[in-house]
Amino acid sequence: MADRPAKRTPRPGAGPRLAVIEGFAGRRSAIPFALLVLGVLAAGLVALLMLNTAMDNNSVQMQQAQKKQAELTDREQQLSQQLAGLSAPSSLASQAAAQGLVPNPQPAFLNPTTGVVLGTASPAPTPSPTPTPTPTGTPTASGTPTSSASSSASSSATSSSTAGTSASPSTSGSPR
Amino acid sequence: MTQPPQPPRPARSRATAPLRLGRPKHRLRAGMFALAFVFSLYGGRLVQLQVTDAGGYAAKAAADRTADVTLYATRGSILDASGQPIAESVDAVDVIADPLLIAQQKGDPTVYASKLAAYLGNPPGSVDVSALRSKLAKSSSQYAVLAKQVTPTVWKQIKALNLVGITGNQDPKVVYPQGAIAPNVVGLVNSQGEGSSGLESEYNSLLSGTDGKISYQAAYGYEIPTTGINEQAAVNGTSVETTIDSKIQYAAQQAINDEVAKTKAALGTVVVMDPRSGAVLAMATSQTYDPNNPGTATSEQLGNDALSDVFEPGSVAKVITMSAEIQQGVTNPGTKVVVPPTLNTGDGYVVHDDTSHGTEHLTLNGILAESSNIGTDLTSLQLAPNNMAERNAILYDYFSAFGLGRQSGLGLPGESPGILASAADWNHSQQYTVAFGQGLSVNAVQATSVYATIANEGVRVTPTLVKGYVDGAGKFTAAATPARTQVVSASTAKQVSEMMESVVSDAGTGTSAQIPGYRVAGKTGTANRYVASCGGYCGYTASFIGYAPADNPQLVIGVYVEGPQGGNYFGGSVSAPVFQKVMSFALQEQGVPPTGTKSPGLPITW
Repeated sequence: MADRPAKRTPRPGAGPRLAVIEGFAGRRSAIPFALLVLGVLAAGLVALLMLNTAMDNNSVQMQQAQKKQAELTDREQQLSQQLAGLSAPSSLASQAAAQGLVPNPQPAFLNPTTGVVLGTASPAPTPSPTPTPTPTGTPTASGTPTSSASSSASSSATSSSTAGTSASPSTSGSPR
Repeated sequence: MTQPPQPPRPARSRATAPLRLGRPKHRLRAGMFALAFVFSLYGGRLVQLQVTDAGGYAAKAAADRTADVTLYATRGSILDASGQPIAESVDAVDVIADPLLIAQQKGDPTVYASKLAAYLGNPPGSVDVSALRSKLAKSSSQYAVLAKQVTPTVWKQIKALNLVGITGNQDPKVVYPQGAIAPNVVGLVNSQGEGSSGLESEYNSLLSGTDGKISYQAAYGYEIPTTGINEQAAVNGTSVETTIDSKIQYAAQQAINDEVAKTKAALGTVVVMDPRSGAVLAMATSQTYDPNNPGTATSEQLGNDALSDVFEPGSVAKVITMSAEIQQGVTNPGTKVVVPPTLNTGDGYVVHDDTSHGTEHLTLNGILAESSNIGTDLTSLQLAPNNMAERNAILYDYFSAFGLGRQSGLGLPGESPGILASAADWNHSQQYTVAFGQGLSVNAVQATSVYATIANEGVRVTPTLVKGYVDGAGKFTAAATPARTQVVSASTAKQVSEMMESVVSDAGTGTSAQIPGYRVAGKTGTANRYVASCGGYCGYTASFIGYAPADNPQLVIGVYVEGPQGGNYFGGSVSAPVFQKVMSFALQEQGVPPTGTKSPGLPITW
């Protein structure tokens, strides 16, 4: 074979010398490509993992938020019922009675701009011994708020009677 | 190394049997046919799957993957006039046990019972533990309701116990945060969540709303991401905003309860209306119940007596007769009438007055103020002198125009229209008694509406209980404006109104209805009460209907007490004080100041 290249040697003076560089293509190392593939694969896996994590994280957050929302809704419902119970006419009436207040049988109005009294103003009737406020029968108005209000009410009623009014409410009064 | 000699290779020779080369073309063709055959099977199957059966498989797969969750619509509330709920639906959970499963899982009913008892009952922990244990131990059953309608908070605590065989079932309950406010009007919701009486029944379809649904793709119970959720949101029920003023309702309820207790009456009702809008602000009946505990109520207590109970109105109906006379132009408040001690109508019927008297010289105003039956009959004959049939027909037309004999228009279930026989059917005595309110029957709302008509310058506004509707998003839609009809002229109404002020004056029968500073108009009624159980007239119906301020009426109140016991049975002494109490409260509650004008003080005698 040693004679073959000599055979191919072009004659001198016949243009640029061309030579085939043998065995270059295909000799490149396979490692970079393998690394690239592995890299892409790894990146894909990591991305997938992160995506899954993010999704799980979101769903956990959503669940927690929903739970919180449900709790807050329950609480809101509970509180608004309690408020409605406390501001119900029956509850207001019994608390007012406990403080020695009486309904006014003779409505009268004061016009603040002219100072004119409309209607016949007269002193309210003396309250009969006030009964202790009974639970109003509303399920939410029971418990601490009512009992604390009634205890403070009876104390303030006592102080008002010592202040010289004819009202003498007592919590131990007999029913009307 | 020595090798055995090898025989020389036979020389290639074309002379020997020729080795035939393969025919690649044929092989390829055969292979292709084989492959094509196999692929055609695949293809065929593919077509079968993807084209022919595709829909069915896809639907089956989707059904297998799809999870459905019902979204329950929240029932609307019944609101009072200020928008505060009277009846409100809240989340609640029934606690259900599967005793069979508990037994299979070797659960100990005693342990279950003691764990659960800490959370059940009201207050929590007050439940009967042994009853709970026996329910849980009954392993022949798979369904035992341990507690009805516990709050979501309690249920969460129970769920956290992780007891096998204990499940929760959504069962929203209706609560009454303001206590018993007009329970007979509001009505009840049954265990199926349907309104069974009152407004809850009348507006059930509006209040219930429409349940929604969430559908999503799930695997092993978990949502498959990115597949999308198909959510059909629940449409929450629409709330009904009533015209009921909780505070006036409460005051009316207290006042009538006290009076019925004091007089040992069979029944008492109070109706409060705004004459200008026809709005019913309060409707209280002594036969009532606690909506938080309706199980103990009798069927009478569950009804609404202000609409279902009818009674003979008595003298309160004289206002209609006098309106007819004045409108027809045959009398005026000053018409002078000689009222004899009795009126013999012939045919054996003699008209008497409440209290015996000699011959009196009363004006028409005086007849109303003293509530003379004889005077009312005598003047009513002037509607068509010497023609009883025509006079009866005219009277009937007015009674009917004022809304008697037909339903009030509230639309609540169980209303009785009362009885107003047509004029041609009136018997001899009835021809005379109808003019002063016997021989016909009305319900409390009808009677109050008559006075609202006079108060509203002769224009009858159909009574209404509903102000509007609040949908799930909080949007308010006003209810349709009630129908208005001119029954008598404004001038007639004014004259009758001034006469009714004389009733409440010191000379009239309704003095205890006076509110100092205010002009009050009204009329007492003391009717003979028909009682079926005694087969005739036994006892009385004491009533008072009136309004204030008389020259600018903003509130009309009717008080009806049926069957008061003892000697005190007059409308002026039984019902007028209740009117006074409720009216003076309602005037303050609604902020209605006195008008500052003077009552005309029409003459009573001549």
